Amino acid sequence: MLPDSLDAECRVFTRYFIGEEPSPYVMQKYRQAHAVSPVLAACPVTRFDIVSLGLVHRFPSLVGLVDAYTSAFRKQALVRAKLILLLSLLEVSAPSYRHFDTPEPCSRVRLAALLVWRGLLSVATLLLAALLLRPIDAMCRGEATLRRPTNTHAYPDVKLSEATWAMTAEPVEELTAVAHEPARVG
Amino acid sequence: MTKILVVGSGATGVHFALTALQRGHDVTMLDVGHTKPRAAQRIANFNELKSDGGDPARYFLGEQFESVVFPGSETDYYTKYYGVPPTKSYVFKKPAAFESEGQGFEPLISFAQGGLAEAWTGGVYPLNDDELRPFPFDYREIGPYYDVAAERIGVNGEADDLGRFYPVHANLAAPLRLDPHSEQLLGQYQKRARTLNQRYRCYLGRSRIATLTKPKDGRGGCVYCGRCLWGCPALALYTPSITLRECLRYPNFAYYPGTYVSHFTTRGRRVESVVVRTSDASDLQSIPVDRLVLAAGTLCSSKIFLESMLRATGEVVKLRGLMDNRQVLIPFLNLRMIGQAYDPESYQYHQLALGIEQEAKEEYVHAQITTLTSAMIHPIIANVPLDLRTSTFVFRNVRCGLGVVNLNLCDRRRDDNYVTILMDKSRDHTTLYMHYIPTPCESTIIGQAVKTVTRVLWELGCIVPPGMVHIRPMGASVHYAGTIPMSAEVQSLTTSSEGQSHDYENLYFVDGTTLPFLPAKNITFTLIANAIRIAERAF
Repeated sequence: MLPDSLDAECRVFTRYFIGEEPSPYVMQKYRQAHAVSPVLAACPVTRFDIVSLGLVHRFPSLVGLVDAYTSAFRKQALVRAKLILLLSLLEVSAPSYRHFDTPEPCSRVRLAALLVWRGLLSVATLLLAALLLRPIDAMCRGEATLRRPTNTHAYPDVKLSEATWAMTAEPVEELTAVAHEPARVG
Repeated sequence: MTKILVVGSGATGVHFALTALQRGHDVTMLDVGHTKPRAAQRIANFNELKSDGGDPARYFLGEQFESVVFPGSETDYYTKYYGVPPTKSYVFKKPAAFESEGQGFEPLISFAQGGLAEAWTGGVYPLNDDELRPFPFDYREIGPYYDVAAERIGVNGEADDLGRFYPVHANLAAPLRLDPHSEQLLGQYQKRARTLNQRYRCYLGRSRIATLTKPKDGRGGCVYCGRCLWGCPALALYTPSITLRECLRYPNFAYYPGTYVSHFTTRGRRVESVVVRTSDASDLQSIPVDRLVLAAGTLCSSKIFLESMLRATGEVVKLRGLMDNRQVLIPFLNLRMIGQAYDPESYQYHQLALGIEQEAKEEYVHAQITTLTSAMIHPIIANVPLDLRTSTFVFRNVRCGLGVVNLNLCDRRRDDNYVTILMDKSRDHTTLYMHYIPTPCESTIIGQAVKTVTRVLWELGCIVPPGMVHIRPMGASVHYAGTIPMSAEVQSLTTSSEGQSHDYENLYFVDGTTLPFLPAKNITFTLIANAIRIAERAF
């Protein structure tokens, strides 16, 4: 179950970033990173992480809102760590690296207009994300961390990653209820 | 013929050893000597490696994805300073026996074969007579050794406007091909040079770089593959392990890696032996010494000396005068380069340098200008204050115009700043402790320098994004010096102009410990030249 679900996550994020399906190599490396990266294994998992990842899995079109929100207010969220991991994989792999190298083939005036437009769109997305996710975040804050960070130099703990997945795979409705229960340590 | 024991295989150790070997001495080198992992050595540019069917994620990100800069992991030892790639992480690996802590000072220490310069960016800048004034010798004395050092390592550059700050030594090869962004900046400077020189006392020109432009002595010339940081596959970018290999060809050279030097023992005013811990034996072993040369780098050489003093006298000594260059990173965006495509076939490190003249000439402010060519870009994208997708869009359209000015300030020896050792009686070894307090006027000096650079960049058509200037912590520049300085007067905890200890007559220091002043320029070239000078003059 774990590899399939990570593949689904990888697909959602890749489509979001470059508008294409990930290559088999990127998907394999995404899975491998979850199994062996000590930093990812040590990432603390909070209620907000569970809710935000659950949202992304159930409603892939909301990934932009989650990205905008975590970029501004939750820089160390697990979902952001996963997005950054995927960015790093896309930038070192062919053919996706070209998406990071190639500027828009247009005039400088048009490019300036595009940059302004994308900036405005980004601000609007952030406002919408704040409206939707701020209340959820507020509910999650104050709740204990579900998994505390392990020693970052420890040998990778695959079980922790599976536990992370098990939590993130729970439906949103159930998670909202879980948020009021005593904290579990994964 | 003398038997010489050298500790450390960094830039100073290997060049001292090579000169001593050429002069017929027997040299034994003791070194922890962590070795370089095997990595892709075939000549292919940055992007070709991503598409050649190999395992690019392993090469660029590491077996355990340790080079992915996750949010919050920037506080990690490596990423904080360099975002060191997997192929270079061995440079900063420490042996279990070595511990350090600091207040106001966060150093990088290396136990690798070749030392810290295995991960350097190759900037070579000779000191001039203004900067050498606090030294017990002048340019006439060290100049010939700069020539030898340049011949050995291969230096390229140009006699241009920066010649007023860097003496033009012999063996200077023609400069590398400029990347389009650096070329554009230099062109802009040449159009506005007079204004910039007069209004800001600022001069810009080609960097001096320890990179071969043509093949020489088994090394290739630069192939513009953009992989300098990952380890030059052509060996065009100089690293000290190249000279170590040259030393190994001499029959009168013995190299012992896996050897951690703890301290030396003394009898009267002489060093009798060094005490080492080897990787294949848990007990300490003793090696007799004829003449001992410490070249382990300022901090490690200081620790060996301090630990030895402690064992000889029972006294914990403070070595005062620790210096390091304060570094300030000023990112900029060249508006004229926006929307242009980036060329992956470029030299990766800095190709331009900038100097700002000061009233006191030795306080000259030095800067290197690195335009963004090949690099891991996800850490940059993650730092743009927008969502990651928009940041990616913005980044790829402005990528070609991005760069960073790395500003260096000089430092002087002050009693407030020292290294010593802390003893923990429950353990059998000590901890190196560093203490550093900047001068009260430092923030004013930094502010003025940043303002000048920002205005100069504006004149060149660049903007500095607000809030992006980063003052790096002391220790980040890796130019440590001054703990046992050269002194014309014979006094304890100093050396002669030939690096001979005034405390123990058969002990020599050839690394940064002996510098009495730290100019703003990168010191590695000067340290190499000085090590050759000492080997010739004192042995």
